Amino acid sequence: MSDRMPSAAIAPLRPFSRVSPLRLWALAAHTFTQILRMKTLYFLIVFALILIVFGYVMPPPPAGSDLSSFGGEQELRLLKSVSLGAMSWFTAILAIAGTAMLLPRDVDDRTLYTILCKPVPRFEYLLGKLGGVILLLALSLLVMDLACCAVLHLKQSSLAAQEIRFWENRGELTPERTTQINDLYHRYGLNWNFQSAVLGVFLQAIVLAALSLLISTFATSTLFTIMAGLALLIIGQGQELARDYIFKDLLGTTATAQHIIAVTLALLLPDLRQFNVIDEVVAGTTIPAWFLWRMTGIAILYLAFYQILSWFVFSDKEL
Amino acid sequence: MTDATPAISIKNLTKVFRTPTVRKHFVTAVTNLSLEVASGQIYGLIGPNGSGKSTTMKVLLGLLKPTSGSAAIFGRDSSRVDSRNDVGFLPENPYFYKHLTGAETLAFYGKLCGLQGAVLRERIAEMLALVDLEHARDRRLGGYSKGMLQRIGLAQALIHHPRLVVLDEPTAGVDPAGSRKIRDLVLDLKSRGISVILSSHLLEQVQEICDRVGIVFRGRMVKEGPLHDLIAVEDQTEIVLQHATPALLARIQQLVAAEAAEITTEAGQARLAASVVRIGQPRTTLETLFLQATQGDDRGETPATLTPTTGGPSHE
Repeated sequence: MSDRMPSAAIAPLRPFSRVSPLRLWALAAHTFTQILRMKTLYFLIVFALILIVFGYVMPPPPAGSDLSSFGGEQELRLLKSVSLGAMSWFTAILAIAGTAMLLPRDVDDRTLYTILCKPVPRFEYLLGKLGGVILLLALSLLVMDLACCAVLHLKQSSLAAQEIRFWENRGELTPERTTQINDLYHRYGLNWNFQSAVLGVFLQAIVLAALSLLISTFATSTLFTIMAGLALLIIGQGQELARDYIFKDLLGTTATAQHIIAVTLALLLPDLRQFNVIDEVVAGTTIPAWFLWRMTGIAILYLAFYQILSWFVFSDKEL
Repeated sequence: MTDATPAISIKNLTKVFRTPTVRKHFVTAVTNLSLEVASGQIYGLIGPNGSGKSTTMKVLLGLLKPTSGSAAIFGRDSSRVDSRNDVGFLPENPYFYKHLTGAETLAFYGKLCGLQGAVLRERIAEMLALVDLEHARDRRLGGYSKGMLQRIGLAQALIHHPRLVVLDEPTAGVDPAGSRKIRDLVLDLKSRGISVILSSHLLEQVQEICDRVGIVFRGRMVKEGPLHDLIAVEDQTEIVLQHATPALLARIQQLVAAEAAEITTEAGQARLAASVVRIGQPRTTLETLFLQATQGDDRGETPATLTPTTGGPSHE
């Protein structure tokens, strides 16, 4: 070892800030690379294969067929439906599995000791971990989104051109018809509405990540956290049905009781249907801005609630 | 540089764990343990496996909450996060992210301590030089040897200029040369006023560097105090002579044999005459002290009276 010593062995007492963006960023960036190096992004290859299969391998309408009756928009709707569905499942699974591994692994490897022995508050550690997962989800979703947009754009252009050629060959192409064709494919193809569905997918994934982090603060194994997360993902999709069943068939409750039960249920078991606008987007329905804001607000509330609950459990955890 | 506030103050610490069994079962890891480490002191906490050393250190680092009693670092409750601003910790087995390189590891821990930019970069270079890992700065920790991991662990413990360093088995798995360097580094830290608390099974090393020692056995502090006092054998007196002639020794033996009460200490200053170097109590080894202190049975018998190490002329 070198004879050189630290330049100033004793430093004066440093001021300590309870919340430090630098610490949060350090934890989040590290978590991001940690999950990235777990080779979790291999699913992007599967996603790319799905896109290729549904975008190019599926047979196009035969040349010369009556495109007016075939409806190329059906093909776009199918492509959008499959790619958004795949996006939703892949990010949900990444959110659950990626988050579930973080805390137990730090505890098992005892790296948690070396982190919490530094001036790092426990809630900041949790927030940093969640931040890292959110970063990774955002990045992977961005990659999938860009790939989808590219495929959709190409598919949409190709179908529109094919239909225009079809009407041209029949000598029935008019400027009005051209506009009509372009509008139709734009409506069912690539548009900003598509991003509403992607936003919903992202919000659902971050809520699931926060929920998985909460479960991992008290779970005894990673497997339990993953299984519980997947179960909540399925339950979350059907919570609305469950509520209806409870209120209409089981209980003759008052409106207040119904409200309390609904809120409790919705907090403990997130209602993931609220973030699912895939069907509407595929059907070509425009999602209003106020709905997107509401969806974002609900996701933030879920995040805050689960994060506080995680901190509550983790703050007293003996390591 | 010293401070009147003790670096560590643990008072009547008791830690009871509840085991996750069907019937509630409690395990007492530490019972009524107290110790104090003055600023700038090196304190050795020794004890057999499972004696409560790690639990004590974990309470000190805020990883566990005491069932009763208190622990403070530079006067601040150790459960407070800001108390960790002054502490560097080297765990027994290096628990670091294996996918990070040496430099990335130090950068990560440095950022957690609020360092950034040029200051952080400079500090990383300084620490890598200190632990002689400049050549491995861009190598992943997964490829580090145990000794290298221990050294990078030491570097991360010192990255933020702590005033107190907690070392859990700092030389475990390190070769003798590396072990000696870590020992020298600990002594160097002391010379700079940094307080150190360490646990080790290498009792010779503890004896060599610690000012104060605590022996923990079955969760209780069985011996605690300045090292020289602890290893002194109270009912014996040691006389160390320099340049003593056989005649002088014979005279001393005659005096002892005659049970003479007077000890003559005439020091010849001009030539190589006999002189008294030290008159005091002979020392046993810390190892003997440790073994005697931890040989009590389950009923908690008090260990036998200390005996000096046999065979050494000064102990006879």
